[in-house]
Amino acid sequence: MNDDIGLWQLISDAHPAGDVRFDAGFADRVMSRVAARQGDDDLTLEQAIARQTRRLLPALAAASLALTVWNWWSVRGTTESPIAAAFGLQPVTIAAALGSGVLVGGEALQ
Amino acid sequence: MTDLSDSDLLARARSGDDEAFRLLVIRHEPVVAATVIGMLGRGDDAEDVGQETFIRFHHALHDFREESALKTYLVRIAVNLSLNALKRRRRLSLRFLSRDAAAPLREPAVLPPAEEEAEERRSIVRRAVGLLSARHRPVVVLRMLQDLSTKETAEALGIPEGTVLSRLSRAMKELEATLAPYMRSGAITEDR
Repeated sequence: MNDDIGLWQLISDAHPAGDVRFDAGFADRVMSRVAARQGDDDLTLEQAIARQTRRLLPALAAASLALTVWNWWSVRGTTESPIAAAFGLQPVTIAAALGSGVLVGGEALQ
Repeated sequence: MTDLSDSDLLARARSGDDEAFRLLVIRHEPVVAATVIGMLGRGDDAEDVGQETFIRFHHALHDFREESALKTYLVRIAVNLSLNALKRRRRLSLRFLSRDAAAPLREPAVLPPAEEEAEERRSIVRRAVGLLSARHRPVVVLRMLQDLSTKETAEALGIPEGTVLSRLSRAMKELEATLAPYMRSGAITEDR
């Protein structure tokens, strides 16, 4: 029992006693985070979507640019149009269009 | 406004009075700080958990029913967030640091000069508390460091009082085992 009391005392003494606080200005930091979060909560759906889109826009633009450059680079030295290559457009010919069977009535023409 | 009760400040805060909420933060910062620092030690993540505790509380202002004391309610949030932070910390340390943090406890330190001795002793004991499992640490922090009653500790942790007592007993044994080499070597003493 005495051992327990001694240990209890030892542990209590090792930790800060009394008015423990975080660094000065803690309440202000909490309030600014609360205000920021309140701002988020007050957004309408359109505003929230617009905000998310704005955040993603640079990444989407970078990805599109990278894909464009890759497409363009992969057809260099061929006869394919650089514009078509950049946008990954397939060359369209009458034979290809009829062969795909996508066009309505394509089978009839074949 | 500083002389208003928690209930009055809560009512004002619920109706959108930010100054009332700010006063609640100032008033209850010590209990949250003692809980979080007891669980995590001082550092950036302790401050972050402290802030998050009050942000969660603000978010739940309208749901908080004053059946339990505000102090107990805040301590419960702080303990849960601290446990999450401990899990994150453990994942990180497993990834990057292995178990270096526990190393100083394996070999008793050489006794430092008298001035530094007390700090060294406190540091050893704090590390021993830091090595307690996630199940035992909150009980030690609330019951032994914050001096909450068994009932308050049970309420804050959402467990029966009997469980508090059994966890505390196991935690004491764990601490005793961890600190025994230091007590034997004289690095720390009980009778001060």
